[in-house]
Amino acid sequence: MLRRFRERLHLGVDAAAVVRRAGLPRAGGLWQTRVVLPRPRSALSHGVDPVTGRAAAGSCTEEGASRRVGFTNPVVGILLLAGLFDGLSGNPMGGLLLVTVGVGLARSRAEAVSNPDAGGFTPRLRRPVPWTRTWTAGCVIGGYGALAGTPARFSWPATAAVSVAGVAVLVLAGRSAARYRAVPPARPAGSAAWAAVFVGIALWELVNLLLQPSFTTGSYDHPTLSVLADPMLASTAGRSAALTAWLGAGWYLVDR
Amino acid sequence: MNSRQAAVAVYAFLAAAGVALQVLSRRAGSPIPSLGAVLGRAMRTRSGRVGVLAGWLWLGLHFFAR
Repeated sequence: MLRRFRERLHLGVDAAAVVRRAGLPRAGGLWQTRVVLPRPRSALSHGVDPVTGRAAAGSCTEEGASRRVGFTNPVVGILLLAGLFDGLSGNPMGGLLLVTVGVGLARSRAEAVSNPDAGGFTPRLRRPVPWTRTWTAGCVIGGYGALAGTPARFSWPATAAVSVAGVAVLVLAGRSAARYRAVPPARPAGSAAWAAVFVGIALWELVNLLLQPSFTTGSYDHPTLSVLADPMLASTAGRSAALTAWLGAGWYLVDR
Repeated sequence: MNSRQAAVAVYAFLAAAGVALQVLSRRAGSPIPSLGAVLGRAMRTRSGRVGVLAGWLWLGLHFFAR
């Protein structure tokens, strides 16, 4: 390290004199001097700090590290995994949606990690919702659900109706992201119980999916939730009721 | 009990577990949060909010849309 220091000073320079002038700490004699030098810049260390082993600021190694952080988020992993199995099950649009959202979320987290000073999600407390707004939303949801349940299942009018409603809820949820209702402190044990229920449903669904003859063929003996819901969703009343419930759940999430 | 009945029984058990947790959360001083509180906390972060809304949208597209 002392040789490299001399090289940077164009050789011949008395290292000890330089050290004294620079005020750097030293120990031992002239040629046994151990100098505490400033950390080498990223140009010399090829993007990695030789002392700490961490990525130097602005280096390619740091960008790769932040990208990896984005993909280590469990929500991203769940979205990518669900998208993969949904695509394999003969639903490429749904799978593409989940994968796109997962990748977008990972990139968003990577940008947040690499630029922590940028503006992020800063929710604030919101005022209570007036009952007139809730009743109006209920009537709109009920009417829309009844109307959207009229076309046949998996038809283009039904797809358009679900897509329009989905986009509307996402827009409302995005606008309400700056406001949230105050909730009690976290209770890990109770939250773990809820997580176990949801994970159990997801795992049992996956087990039945894997026990089907193929990913695109349902099984009577090992029914998934889709197969179980087919008889109810075959009728207009069943579709309308289910769509109304789905829209109600979306409105509930907007309000969270 | 055949395979279909067993599969339905497991789904029913998990649904009943969720209902039981929601009922228990209503009791005073319960350590179990309600589903709304769990979702509310999950949606505090950007990841949680995006994940929950994406899951909701996927449900609609999966069951009703092409």
